[in-house]
Amino acid sequence: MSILLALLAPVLGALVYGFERIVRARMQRRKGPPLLQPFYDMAKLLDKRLVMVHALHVSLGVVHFILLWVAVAMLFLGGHLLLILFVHLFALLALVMAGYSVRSPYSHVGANRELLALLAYEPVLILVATGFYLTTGSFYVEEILTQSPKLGPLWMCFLALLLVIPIKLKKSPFDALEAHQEIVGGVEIEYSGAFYEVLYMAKMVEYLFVYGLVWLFAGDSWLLGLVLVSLVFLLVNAVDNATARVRIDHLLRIVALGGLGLATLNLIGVSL
Amino acid sequence: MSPIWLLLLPLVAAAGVRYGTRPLGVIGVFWLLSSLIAMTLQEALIGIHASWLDWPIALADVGLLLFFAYVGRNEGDVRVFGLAIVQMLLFVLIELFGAHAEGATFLIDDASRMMLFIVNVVGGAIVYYAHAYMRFEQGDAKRFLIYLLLFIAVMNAIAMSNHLMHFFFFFELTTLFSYLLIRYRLDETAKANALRALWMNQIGGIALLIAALVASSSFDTLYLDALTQHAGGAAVMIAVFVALGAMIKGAAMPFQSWLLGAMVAPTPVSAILHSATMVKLAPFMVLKIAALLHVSFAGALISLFSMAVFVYASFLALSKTSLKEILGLSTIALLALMVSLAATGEERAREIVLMLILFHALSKALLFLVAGVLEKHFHLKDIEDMAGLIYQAPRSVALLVFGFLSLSVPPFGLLLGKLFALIFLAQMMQEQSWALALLLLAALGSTLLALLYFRLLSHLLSRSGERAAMAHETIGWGFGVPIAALSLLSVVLSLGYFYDAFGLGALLATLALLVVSALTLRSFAKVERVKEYACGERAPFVGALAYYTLSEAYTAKFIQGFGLFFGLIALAGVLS
Amino acid sequence: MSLWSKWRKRAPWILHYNAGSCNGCDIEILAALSPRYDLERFGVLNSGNPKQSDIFLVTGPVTYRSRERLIELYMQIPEPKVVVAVGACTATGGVFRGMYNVEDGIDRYIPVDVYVPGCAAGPQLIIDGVMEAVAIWEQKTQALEEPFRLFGGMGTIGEALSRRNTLEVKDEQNHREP
Repeated sequence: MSILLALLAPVLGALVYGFERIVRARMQRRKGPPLLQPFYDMAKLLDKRLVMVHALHVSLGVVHFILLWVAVAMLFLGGHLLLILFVHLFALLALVMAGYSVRSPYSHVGANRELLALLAYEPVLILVATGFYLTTGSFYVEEILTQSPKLGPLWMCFLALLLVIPIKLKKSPFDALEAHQEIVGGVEIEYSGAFYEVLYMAKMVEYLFVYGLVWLFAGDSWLLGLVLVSLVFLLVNAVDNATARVRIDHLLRIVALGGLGLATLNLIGVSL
Repeated sequence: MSPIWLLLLPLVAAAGVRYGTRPLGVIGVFWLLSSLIAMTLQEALIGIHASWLDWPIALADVGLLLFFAYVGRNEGDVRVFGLAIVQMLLFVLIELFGAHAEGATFLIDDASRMMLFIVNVVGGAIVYYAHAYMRFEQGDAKRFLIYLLLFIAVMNAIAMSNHLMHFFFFFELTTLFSYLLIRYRLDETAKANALRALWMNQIGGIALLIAALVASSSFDTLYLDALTQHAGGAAVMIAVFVALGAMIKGAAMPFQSWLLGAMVAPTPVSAILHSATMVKLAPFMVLKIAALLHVSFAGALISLFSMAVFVYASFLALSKTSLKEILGLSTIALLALMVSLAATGEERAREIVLMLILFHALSKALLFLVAGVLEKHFHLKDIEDMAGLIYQAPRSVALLVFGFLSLSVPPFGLLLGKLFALIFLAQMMQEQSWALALLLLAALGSTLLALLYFRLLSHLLSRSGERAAMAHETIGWGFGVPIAALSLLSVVLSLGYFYDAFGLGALLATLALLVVSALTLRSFAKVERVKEYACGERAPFVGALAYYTLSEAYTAKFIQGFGLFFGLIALAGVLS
Repeated sequence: MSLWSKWRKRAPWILHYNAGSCNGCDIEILAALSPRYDLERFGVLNSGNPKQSDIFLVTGPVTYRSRERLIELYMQIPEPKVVVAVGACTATGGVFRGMYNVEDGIDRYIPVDVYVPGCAAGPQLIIDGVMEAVAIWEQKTQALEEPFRLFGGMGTIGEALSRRNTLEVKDEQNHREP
C-alpha cells in the first residue's frame, strides 16, 4: 500500500492540487477548473515545442523533482525523519543551483529567496522532528505512526509547522519566493514545455510532503489524520485567499521568530 | 608497521627533498607509504614507552621558547616577547614541581588513529599539490616543501603523544611552523599576520602550561591517560585549560583573526592549516580530555560557547567576498561544532566528532586545492570576480560544487555526521534539557552554512546557453592527482559510512538514485536554445551575490561578547 | 489520438501585454479572469511568463516604445501559440489612429489570429475571443504535426505557419455556426 502510494506520488499530488484549485475557486464563489485540470495542463505542456536555456539548467530541475519524490517516498515508507528533511534540503539546493545557473535576474532573486526561506523554516522542521523524537522515542516515521496521536503534547510544534506550510506551498502571505507579479515565478521562470511540467509535478509532490508531515501529528489514528489534514487544507487556502503577500525579510522574521519560538517553547515543555 | 615510522618518514622525505634531484617522486613515495601505515593501524590501543625522551624534549622546549623570545625582540613585538617570558617562567615552575608517575610516552587510541590518517593521507596530498603550486611562486620552493613535511612530522608526533609536556612542545612546534609558513612571502602583511598567529597561539600554549602545572601539583602525573582517570575540581580545571588552548588553536571567535590572517600565505598553507593539521588539534585535544568534562558546568559552558561560535562564524562569512576567507570562516564554524560536541564528554559524541574531523578534512582540503587552482590559473581570489566562471573553468566549478555538496547534503559523510550530531543532542536532551540550546544553535548553524555555500554559486554557475570555452582549462597532473584522490576518498568513505549507519538497502537505493540523477545530466543536443526572459528587454545580467551582515558596531560587540564568554570559561575552570 | 487531442487544449495559459493601451481593455481582461466571469473554469491561467504561455493577449495600438518588446515577447512564446488582439486599438489603432507615436494595430508586427472588437472590449467578448483562440490553437497544432505525420512529404513547418495558412484557418472559423 505505502509502496504504491510512494510510486504514485506525482499522480496523487496532481489530484490534491486539482482539488485545491476547485476549493479555492469555491471559496471565491466561482466554479473553478475541473478536478483533472493538472493532467490537462500536463497534456498541454507535453505538446509544446521544447526550448531551453542550457542543458544543466534542465537537468538540475529534473534532479530536484527526483529528490523531492524520493523524500516523499521515504516519508510514506516510514523512513528516518531527519534524513528525509535532509534529502528534501538536497532537492531544494538542486533547485537553487538551477536558479543560479541562468542569467535571469528573476531567477537569481528567486533562488536567493529560496535560500533565505530555507534559513527560516529548516531549523523549525528540525525542531519539530526532535519534538517527535522526544515524545515517541524514535525518529522513524514508521514508529511515530504506530503510537498514539502526539497533537496534544506537540501542539505548539503543530502551530510552528502551520507557519511553515504556506512557504512550502507558495501560498499567501508567504509566497514571496514565487511572487508571480513581482519576480515572475522566481526559479521556475526559465522552464517551459515538458521541462516546466517536471517542475510543476515537483510542486504537486511538495503538497504530499507537507500534508504528510501534518499527518504525523495524528499518530496511529486515521480519523484524526484525515480531520487534521482537511482542516489544515481548508485553513491554508482560506488564508491564501484572504491575505496579501509579505516581504521576504518580514517572512524571515515572522517564521524564524514565531515558528522557532513556538517550537522551542514546546520542546522546553516536553523535555522538562 | 610501527607507528614510529610515521615520525621518521616525513623527516626522511624532507632530507630527500633537500638533497635529492626528484622532489616530486620523494613526496609521492612518502605520501603512499605513510598513508599505508596510517591506514593499517588496527590495534585498539598502542602504548610506547620512551621516557628517555623527556629530557631532550625539555631541552628543546627551552630552546624553542628562547627562539620565540628572540623573535619577539627582533621583530619588536612586545606581546610575543612577553608571552615567551611568561611561558618560560611557567615552564620552569612545572619542571621544579616535577611529576614522578610513569606512563606510556606515545599512546595511540581511536582519536589518534583518525588524526594520523588525515595528517598523512590529506596532508600528503597537500604536499604533493604544493610541489606543483610552488612552480608559480617566487622564492625557495624546496624550503617551503621541507617546512610542510616537518609540519606533518610534528603533527604525527602530537597525535601520538600522551605526556602533557611533550604535547606542549609539539603544540609550540606547530605554532613555530605556522609562523614560518605564514611569513613565507616576507611582505609586510605576511610578517604582521605571522606575528599575530604567533602570539595568539602562545596564549594557547600558556593555557596548556597552566593545565600541566595543575596536573603536576595536584596529581603528580603529566600522562593524559592517567589524568583522565581522576575526577573532581582540579581535574575539571586541567580539562578546561586544555580546552581553552585547543579553542585558540581552532581559532574560536575572539581569536579568529590569526587563521584568517594566514590567508596571505600560499594556498597549500591554508589547505594544510585548515584541513589536515593545525586547527584539527582543537577537537582532537578536547576529545583527549573530554571524559573530565562530562556533566560539568565548565563543560556545558564550553559546549554552548562553541556552538555559538558555530552560528556566528557561519553568519560572519555571509558578508565576505574572498573565497579563501569564506572557506576559513566555515572551517572555524565547523571546528566549533566539533569542539562543542566533544566537550559534552559523552561517549556517543566521540565517534561523531571523529567522523566530522575526517570528512571535514577531506572536503576542506579539496576546496582549498581548487581555490589554489583558480588562483594560479585564472588569477581569481574574490568571488565577485568569478562571474560566469563556468565558461572558463567548468571543471574547477564542478569540483567546487562537489566540495560544497559534500559539506551539506546526504549521503556525504559530513552531513551524516551532522545528522548523528542532531540525533545525539536530541538524546542528550532527555537527560539534560539545556542541550536544547545546543540543538537549536546546531540546526541554525547548519542551515546558515548551506546558505553560505550555495549563495556563492550565484556568480559561478551563471551562464546563458552553451558556448565554447574561451580558454582551455588544464588542471594538470600535479594539481589533478591530489584533487582526484581526495574526491574519490570522500565519496568512498562517505558511502561506507552511510552503509554502516543505514544498511545495505539504503546504500543500494542511494547508488541507484545517484545513477538516475547522473542519467539526467544529458546534453539535450536536439533541443533548441533560447535567451532568458527579461520582460522583453535585453539587459545584460550575470549574477547577483547577496550579502548579509550586521553593522560594524554590532560585529565588534559580538566579538567582545565572545571574548567575555571565553574569560568566563577560564573563570569557571579556575573556580571548579 | 482522439482522446489526446481532446485533452491537450484544455489548459490555455495566457500572457497579457499592454502595448500602449489606455488600460480599459486591461481592466476588462482582468475582470474576465476574476471570480465574476471566472475564465479559470476553462483551465486558463494568467502566467505572466511567455515561456509558459500559449495565448498572447495584446491590448493597445503599439506605441513606438513598445514595438520591440511586443516582438520579443511574441518570439519567446514557444510554438504552438495564438495571438488575440483585444480592443479596437489593436485592430486599427482605434482612437489613437494616426497619432505621431503610434502604429495602427499590432498586425503590422505580429500575425494576429483573433480580433476582439470593442472600446473597451467586454469580458464576455474576451472570453469568446479566448475560446475562439483555443480552437485555432488546436488547428495550428495539427498543421504543425502534418509534416511529421507524412514523414516530411508535405511542406515545412514554416509554410504551415505562414500567414496565408492561418488566414484560411480563420475563414473556416468564420463560416462555422456559433
